Amino acid sequence: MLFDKNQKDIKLFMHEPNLLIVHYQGLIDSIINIFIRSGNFKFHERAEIKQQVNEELLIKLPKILIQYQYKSTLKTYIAAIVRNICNEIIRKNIKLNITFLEESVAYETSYNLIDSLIIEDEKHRLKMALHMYHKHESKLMLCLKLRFRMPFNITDFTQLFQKFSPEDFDFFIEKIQPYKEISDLAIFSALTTLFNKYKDKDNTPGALRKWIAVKIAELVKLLNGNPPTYFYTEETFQILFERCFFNESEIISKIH
Amino acid sequence: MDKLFFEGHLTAEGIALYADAMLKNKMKIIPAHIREHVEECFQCKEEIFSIYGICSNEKSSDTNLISPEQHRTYKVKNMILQIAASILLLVALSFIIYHISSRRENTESGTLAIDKTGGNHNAKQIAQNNLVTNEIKKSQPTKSTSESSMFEELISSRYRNPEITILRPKLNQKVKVNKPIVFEFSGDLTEPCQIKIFNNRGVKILETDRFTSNSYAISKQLIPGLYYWKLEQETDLLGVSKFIVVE
Repeated sequence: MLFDKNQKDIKLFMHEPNLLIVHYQGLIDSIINIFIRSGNFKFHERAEIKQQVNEELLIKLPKILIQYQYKSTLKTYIAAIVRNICNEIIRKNIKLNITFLEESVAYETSYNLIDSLIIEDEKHRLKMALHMYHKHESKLMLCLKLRFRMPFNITDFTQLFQKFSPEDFDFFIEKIQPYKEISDLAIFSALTTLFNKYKDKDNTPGALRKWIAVKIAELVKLLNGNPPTYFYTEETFQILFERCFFNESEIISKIH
Repeated sequence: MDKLFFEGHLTAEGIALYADAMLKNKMKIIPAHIREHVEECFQCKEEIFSIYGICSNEKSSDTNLISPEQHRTYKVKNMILQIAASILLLVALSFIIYHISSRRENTESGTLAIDKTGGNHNAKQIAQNNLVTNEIKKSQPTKSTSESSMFEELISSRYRNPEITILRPKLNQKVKVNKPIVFEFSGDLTEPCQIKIFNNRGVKILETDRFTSNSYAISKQLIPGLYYWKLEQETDLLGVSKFIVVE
């Protein structure tokens, strides 16, 4: 169905590109709204910004026609271009009046249906963000679990290390006791031992600890968006991560 | 090399290609070299994630963002709707209460007892008897006057209790649809008994409470047609007869 829609869009793009812009007004609105939410554009500027975006698109259409290789859907491609145009407008206007959205998503403990739907969206966003780490995803997941002292099991290790032995798992468990109180250095030191053994590396515990700190900062930035429309911190990111991957009832059976 | 890279980063189409895969939740369709680049390149990652966010939220985005004026209008509209809904609910509740109470009144006034000796309507006795008409919802009496073989057989077998004689309604007596139906018997009723009325298909239309007087009047309107009725005691059938309700 999506394919058919894309074919129709492409046909329109080839024969009546101006009409395609009319067709994508909803998408353009959505993108401008995101920039309004982030404080980069004012609400009352919406019509004016939309006009500017449309003008820019019309100017760029011939170039877009040549550059498009039909590898992505046209709509997503146009979305990327419109976003770039919005960024150009911001650069021109030098507007950096950033305001943030509520933090309710992360802080609310008792939430209603709408909040829970928002949280479901956020969980999905987080999962998609983690998928972008491709081969590093399982390493990232394990390190995040350990960094936030979350429950984990042997599968987290077998996904990461080939032929991972249960003895090494027991050894690791022993090394990180008491789990809740032990320092990051001790945990990542125990983990580095396993990395060096299974991945044939010679890393220091500090390197892994630094790596995960950088990745957390990246994930927080990704979730906040560019332009920022959310206000995640490492703390609120941790809450989201916990909600995303663990039930409250889950017991750290292997740890205690 | 494909043209999805420019100056070491993904082009707009490269970004869109990756975002499309995320939207379809099919990361495996992304070419390996693009996935590997994104894995290491935060700038591309950030752009992809933004486009993914835009396209996945596109439908809801417009409805989420409203101006302060629109918000005020929305609040007022919402309040009016709430008030209207409350009024509607109150009206519906009053109607239901009125309907139930009027039905109860009809039921109570629909059954009359007649004094054993004089045949006059006695309000006190009405209250005491508190006759119940158990309407059988599943059936509607038929207009048909065709006879029921089962009941006809019962009628022909005469009374089981010879001391009781049905005085009225007489067999096949015609009763006006808007008049009360008066049941009268001779003889002594040693035990409480009750009347059960059936339509010609054998479906029970109503039954009275148990009583010991020699007469009853039921003013519940029956649809024109043939009806059978039984006079019963706890363990005994005292008599069976029939009457016809006419317009």
